[in-house]
Amino acid sequence: MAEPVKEIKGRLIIPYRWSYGRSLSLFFEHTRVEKKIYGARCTKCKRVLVPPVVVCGRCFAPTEEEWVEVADRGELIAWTTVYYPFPGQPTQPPYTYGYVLLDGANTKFPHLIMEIEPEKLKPGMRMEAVWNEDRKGDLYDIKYFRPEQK
Amino acid sequence: MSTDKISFEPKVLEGEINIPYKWTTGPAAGKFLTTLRDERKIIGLKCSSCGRVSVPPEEICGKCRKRNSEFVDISDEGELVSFTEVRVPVFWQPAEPPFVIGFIKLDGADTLLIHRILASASSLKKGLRVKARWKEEREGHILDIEGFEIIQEG
Amino acid sequence: MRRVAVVGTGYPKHKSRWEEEGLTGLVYLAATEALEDAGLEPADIEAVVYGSSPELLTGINHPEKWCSEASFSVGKPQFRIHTGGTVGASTGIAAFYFVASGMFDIVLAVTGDKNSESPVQYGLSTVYDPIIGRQFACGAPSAVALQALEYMYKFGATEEHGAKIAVKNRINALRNPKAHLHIEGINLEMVRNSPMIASPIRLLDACPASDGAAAMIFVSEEVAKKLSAPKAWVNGVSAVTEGVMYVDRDMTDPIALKKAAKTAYTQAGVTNPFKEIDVAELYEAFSYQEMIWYEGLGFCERGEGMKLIDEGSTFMKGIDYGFETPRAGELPVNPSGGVLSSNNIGSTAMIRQIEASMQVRDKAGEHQVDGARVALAHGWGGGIQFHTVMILGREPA
Repeated sequence: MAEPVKEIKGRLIIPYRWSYGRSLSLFFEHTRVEKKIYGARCTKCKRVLVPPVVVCGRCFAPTEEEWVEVADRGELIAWTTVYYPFPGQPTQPPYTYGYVLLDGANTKFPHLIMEIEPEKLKPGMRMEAVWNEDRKGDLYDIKYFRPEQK
Repeated sequence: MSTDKISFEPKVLEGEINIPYKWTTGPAAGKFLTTLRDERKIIGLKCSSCGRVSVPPEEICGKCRKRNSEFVDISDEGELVSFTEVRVPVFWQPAEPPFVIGFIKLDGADTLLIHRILASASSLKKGLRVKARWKEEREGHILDIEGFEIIQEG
Repeated sequence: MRRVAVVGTGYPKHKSRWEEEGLTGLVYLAATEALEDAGLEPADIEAVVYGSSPELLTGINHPEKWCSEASFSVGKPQFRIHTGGTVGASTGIAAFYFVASGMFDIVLAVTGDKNSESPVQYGLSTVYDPIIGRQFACGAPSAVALQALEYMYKFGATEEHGAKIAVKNRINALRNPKAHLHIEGINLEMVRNSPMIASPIRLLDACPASDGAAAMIFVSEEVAKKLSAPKAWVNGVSAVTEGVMYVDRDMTDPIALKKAAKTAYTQAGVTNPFKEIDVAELYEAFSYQEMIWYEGLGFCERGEGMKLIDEGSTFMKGIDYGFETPRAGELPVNPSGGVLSSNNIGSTAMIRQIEASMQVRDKAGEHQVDGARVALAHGWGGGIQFHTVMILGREPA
């Protein structure tokens, strides 16, 4: 006789349409059309949130009134090289990504780090965005960040 | 806002979440499904305290708060209690909509089983007698029963 | 606010796959064990708080519904709590609130999850923002890798410190029959040689994915006095949230944890945590985090977490870890084996509270810290942003 039933295999497949919302729609319109990165300045603490969010989590104050351009370059804060594979992974390992604190921003921006061996990365290292020629208004308008070219 | 020069449409990101699972049946549902497959038989679980027989088996009796382990044989025939026609498609459904599902009170059970009714909604009414149509190839799944057919009178 | 005591706890052994029990069965086993420990019947429960992790991990949406019979909720108020990895602790804290408020006298807090049912890092990656961030997510490891690396660079912690924590908690787990991982012969070399998951985190720096459940019974002082079961008095409780997109956020400086600790210490009358707390159960999903949490909890100054590892202060007394631990026993952390030895996510932060209460109830068996009178339980979750602290005492504060 066959083994007793102990488990049922199945799958959840759910399609989504995630709305960017007002701030991110505008943010990615700037990256797509102008290759520029904008942040929103908190009306109270004056710190700049990139990508922009409508309210500052620290002050609970609105940010959208003041929209400021920040640099497409900045300082590397932290990074990791991902080796662990799992089904459905959006980027195939190994890959390196990290946080870049863009000049003029007060929040860290996540993206891929390329054109350098991970062992050579150092905190505080200057990084710059490499822009995609074919921009669709999403995070991959920037292909990745690399060490700043002199 | 200092960006009025740029006009934009609200953007949407299209994506999907697609995750495979292996759900543990636990002892009660496991035995129920195994019996469907191996014996072509429906079994229920009897509460040792209140005597209520549940199909599909309820591992723990909500009323008596005890774990059940006494399995009893149940008929594969019963009475149609309620039904509805499903018209909205979801990928895991057993058939293309429209199809009918219903609550069935199997003979010997005290709870309602939800399953497919192999008939058009317009031909149905509460209280009709129904009987399981079994699949020949069974794999230990609730769909080892293809659905329930109306027992024609006479 | 009324005094509240924990009078019963239970959790079945955690394992990589509970083949013979579904989620409902595990929840039932945990709840039943907690009731037996308390000397109470299911009918005595007045309200139930149910907690579990993001639904996509188990693929059963709204699992508290599924477990209403198993959690003895039928005919009673039942509430679901969900704060990511913190959820187990938040569930216990909600049950505490229920009793402290005077609304109920006997409340069951129960949690459960089966991480074996899906590729868990997929579900955890859906926690990231789909528009900015999910593109690079590797579940929890990649988020914590960034935190760990920042900490290492800032304060000079090394892979050796991470490995020592990984070894400490795995060796402790050998004395906890309920822990998932029992790695005989675990040593620094094994950690160093384990594959990299997300640098600097290696496989043995990371928690396992477990199946499990856990339950606690919170009662009012009035009820507690009538029960013969030993009590763990809930003397301090705090839950604090930090923003994901917080300006000038520093992952090595857990401001939410610092605030939670301060509040809980004030309530419990703790002024020198390192001296006054006898044992702590922290939520170290990854080895390096334990040092960051030491600092957040005020066990040491900022940037000195690694000193407690170098000196061995947070190791158990009388255990050979394979390296020097001269100050072992000063403040043992994670005698149960911690999160590095069992993690089903839904129950994990609750197990910190359970293990802390077992210590002050003298019920921790082989991993008991002798004479523990004050124990601390910590939890974190979300985008490393929710923190909870509970102080349990042998006597009421």
